[in-house]
Amino acid sequence: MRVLKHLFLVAGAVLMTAPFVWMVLSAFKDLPQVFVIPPKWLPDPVVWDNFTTAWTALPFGRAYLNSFVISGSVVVCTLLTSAMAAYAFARVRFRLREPLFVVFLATMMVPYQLTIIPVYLLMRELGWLDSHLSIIVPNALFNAFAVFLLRQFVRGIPREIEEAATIDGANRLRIFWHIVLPLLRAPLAALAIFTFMAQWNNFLQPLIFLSSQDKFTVPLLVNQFRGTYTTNFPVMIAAAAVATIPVLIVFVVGQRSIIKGMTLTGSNR
Amino acid sequence: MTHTGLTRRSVLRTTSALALPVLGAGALAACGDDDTGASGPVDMVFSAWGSPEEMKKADEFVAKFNAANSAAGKISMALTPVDSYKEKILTQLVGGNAPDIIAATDDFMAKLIESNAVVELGPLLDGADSKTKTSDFGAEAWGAAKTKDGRYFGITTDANPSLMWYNTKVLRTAGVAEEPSATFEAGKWTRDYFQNTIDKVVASGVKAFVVGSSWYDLYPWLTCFGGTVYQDGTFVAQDDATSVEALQWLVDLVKAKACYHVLNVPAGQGQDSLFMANNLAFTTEGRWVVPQYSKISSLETDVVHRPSVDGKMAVTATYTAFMTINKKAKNQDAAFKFLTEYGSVEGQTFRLGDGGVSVPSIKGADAVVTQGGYPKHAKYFTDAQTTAFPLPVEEARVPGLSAAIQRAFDEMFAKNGDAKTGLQAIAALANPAIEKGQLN
Amino acid sequence: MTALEQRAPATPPAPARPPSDHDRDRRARRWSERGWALFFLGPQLVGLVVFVVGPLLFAMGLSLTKWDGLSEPTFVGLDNFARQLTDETFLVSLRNTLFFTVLLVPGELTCALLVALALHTVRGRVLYRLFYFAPVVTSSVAVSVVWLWLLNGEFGPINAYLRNIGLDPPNWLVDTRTVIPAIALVSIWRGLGFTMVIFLAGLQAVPKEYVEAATVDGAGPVRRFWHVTLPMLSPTILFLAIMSFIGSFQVFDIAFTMTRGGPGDASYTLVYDIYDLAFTQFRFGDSAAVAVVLFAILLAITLVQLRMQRRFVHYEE
Repeated sequence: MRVLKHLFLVAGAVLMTAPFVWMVLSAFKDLPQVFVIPPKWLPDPVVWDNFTTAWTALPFGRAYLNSFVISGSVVVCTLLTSAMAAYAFARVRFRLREPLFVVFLATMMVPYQLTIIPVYLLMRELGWLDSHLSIIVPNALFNAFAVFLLRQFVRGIPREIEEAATIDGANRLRIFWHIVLPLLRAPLAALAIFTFMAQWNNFLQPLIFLSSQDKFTVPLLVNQFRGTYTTNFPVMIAAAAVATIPVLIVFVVGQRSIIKGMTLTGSNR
Repeated sequence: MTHTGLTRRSVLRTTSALALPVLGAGALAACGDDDTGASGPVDMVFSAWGSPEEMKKADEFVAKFNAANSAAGKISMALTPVDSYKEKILTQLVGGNAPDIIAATDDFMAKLIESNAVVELGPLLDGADSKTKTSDFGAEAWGAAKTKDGRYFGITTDANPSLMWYNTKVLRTAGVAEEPSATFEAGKWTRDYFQNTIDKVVASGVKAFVVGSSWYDLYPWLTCFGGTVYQDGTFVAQDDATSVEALQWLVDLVKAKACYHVLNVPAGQGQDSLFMANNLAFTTEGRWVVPQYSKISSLETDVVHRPSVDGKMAVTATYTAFMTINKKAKNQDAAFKFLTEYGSVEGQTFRLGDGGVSVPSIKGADAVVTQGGYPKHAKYFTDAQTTAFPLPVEEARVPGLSAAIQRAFDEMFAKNGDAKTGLQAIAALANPAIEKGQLN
Repeated sequence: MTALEQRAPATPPAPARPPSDHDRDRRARRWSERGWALFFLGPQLVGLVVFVVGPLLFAMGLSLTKWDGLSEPTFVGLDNFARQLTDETFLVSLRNTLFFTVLLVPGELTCALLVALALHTVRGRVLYRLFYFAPVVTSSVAVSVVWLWLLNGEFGPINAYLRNIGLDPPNWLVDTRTVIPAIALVSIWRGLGFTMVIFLAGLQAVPKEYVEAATVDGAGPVRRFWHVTLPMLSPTILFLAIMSFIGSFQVFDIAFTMTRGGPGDASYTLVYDIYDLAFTQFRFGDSAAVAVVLFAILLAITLVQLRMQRRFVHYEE
């Protein structure tokens, strides 16, 4: 039984990882090697140039800095604003609470193709085109997924803890800051990782809103290797492989807190 | 009909009013209308598609231009990869924030003209300061940049005619001793001869070529044997016996496994990789493969025109890149100066030489294609360009039609369908759309 | 305003006090509750209104116009809806999207749950988790290149294997009947890591005592799964089902990069149609109309799902 389980898991793991492995190995091939039919997995000979070509062709140093600044600010702000909103939805009683929550949920169903043009016009009116604000602010101020997720967790926090604090004279802000937020540490950690990954890979908003190369983010630069008729795939893939390293590190370091943080049963223990 | 005129600005204002209440008016005050009447030096943006590697020469050209014209202000080039180019430029145009000088594909060019967004260039092109007279380009080169009533709104900056690349080693192994270019020079490169070549190649266990579904891949196979695709603004291939027969021939080749259809070839760079691995006798591609093929020393290859009925040069298709000036360009004179130099013989020679991947669209810059000596018959590219047709304007003027037709051809090949029926279905899709100016 | 206020949910009973004080206290608290709600919701509310609701209203207005993005829009009433709702491409897109959703949502949830169950207690799960999460961090270029090869009818290893065991496999991405299932397969593969991780989290929260108690009562593994684990997982399943459902209705990227909607219109989806109408055909009014319809469908189905939550989802409160 246990052997069977491992067999099943190993077979699955191979299928799941194959494209990733292909990506990493292809970064060490030259163009004719990448598309040999049938494919050869191992590079022969090993080509190191792709990395240097990619790195020198475009200002990647600057792009990594931009991506870190954007992703970092979005993570910090999103965690705070969505935890606050989640707390309000779970604990504060006010009229229109349920309908408003449904509106939040509903916004996840708006396809971006629908709103990209109005948002662009808005950014223009705000004077934020070609500025990182156009990416940071909308993502920092609005994340329905995060609110939905955190609300489920706040609902799982025993009310008695808060009630005890209320009797001691603490107001809502103190309760939120000193009691609720620390209890949300695990889901917040998980959310931080997901948000970071989403922002790190965010392609469409930077593509549309940014126009100077010194403001570009990493995915934009990786995509720049796409040619009109043919693409220099090994160089592009080398750049893409390097671009996944931060995300990979974040996942490896944080996967424990993801598992811990994503407990959704709302149980009262 | 209750068509109330709504101005775009009023729509924008209303929405801003709806969307902005919370942020207050402070930010709003910062914006105003674009100024177009600037004098003195202004910086302008030229946006184009392509990878940095492809655009390296264009980038150098821009730098050279800026150095020589510093008084007028700087031009900067904004590059976007081709697959996201239209999305980005269109959003910018809608937002009133578009670049001053715009590179455009056929359908985008047609749309820009229709919506009155770009400058009419005719008088400027034939003016004293022009290095790109209308007569410097072949009649075919204008494509979507010229309106039905003969006005010009853009120029073609370069082109890429489709030729056949052949793999000499594969042909030799199959027992085809004479190179197709030699056969062509002897005036014997006909359909029968080509069929004979295909049979030998297939008998040796290799496929002949890859049949595509795009207009660029497919239409030349109809025109090279004298077929007609469009006539007087109508899709007529379904009623043209030559076209139907040629298409059926392709369908049968795929069915008989003498050729691949493009959908059956692994993506990425399917026909290239088969070709480079000596698994394919021919590919149909433009000049863009030169950097790739010339690097592989073991690959013996050259180009030839498609075969024809009488052995003479066949008419083929060509990709064209257009360049046009935004009506809201900050300085239209400076923008035109840049455009005409970019498209001129000197400009094209500078951009397309040494490592270039396209063919000049202007007369008199041909030498740039043959100077590297690769492939041996590189001059076929410039020969082909003189008669090659761009995306038929009928298709270009209906946004999305070309892609819809391509999907319909895909479907026909996927089902091994009958050519006549397939073409009739496409005519039923295309002709009403051409009449209405939009799909369904 | 006061009428609205009076229908506000009752506050929990306050400690015994003189009635008049009690009343004033309640009113004050209600006011302060409203203040707190504004305070905590404020930032996200600004984001919601400015970056989502405003643009959404704009787009809804757009759906009533004919607009090519460049010239002046013209008001056409419900023309776009009338045309699109009977348009063949729209109907095909809707059918394809529904087909995709029917395959994806149960497929993804089942696969992810199976993997999560297998991973839950196994040795070396930290390593496995990493492997199963790999698709999430693989660049989409690599994903499409590798899958296009895997699914290739002529050269692909999947068909080579199927032919080896004597089957006559379809040409997955070329056959109009199998292209949607093929895209669903790649989507499941791509989303599995994320879904699995959330299931693992849910599984770890199932109290061991419950499972043990069921074992003592003589329940076998299958019964334990159906009667203990599954009910305890129901909030997780609801959350994932809603997410997966919304995601599948918005399927675009994979169809865009792998098949471009083809062959024919066999892999056209609603969002593909929306994209194509706007950015290929310059028909922003029609595009917005389709998007509004999509939005309405999603909203309706999600409300049904949330309603069902009351009947099937077990909250341990």
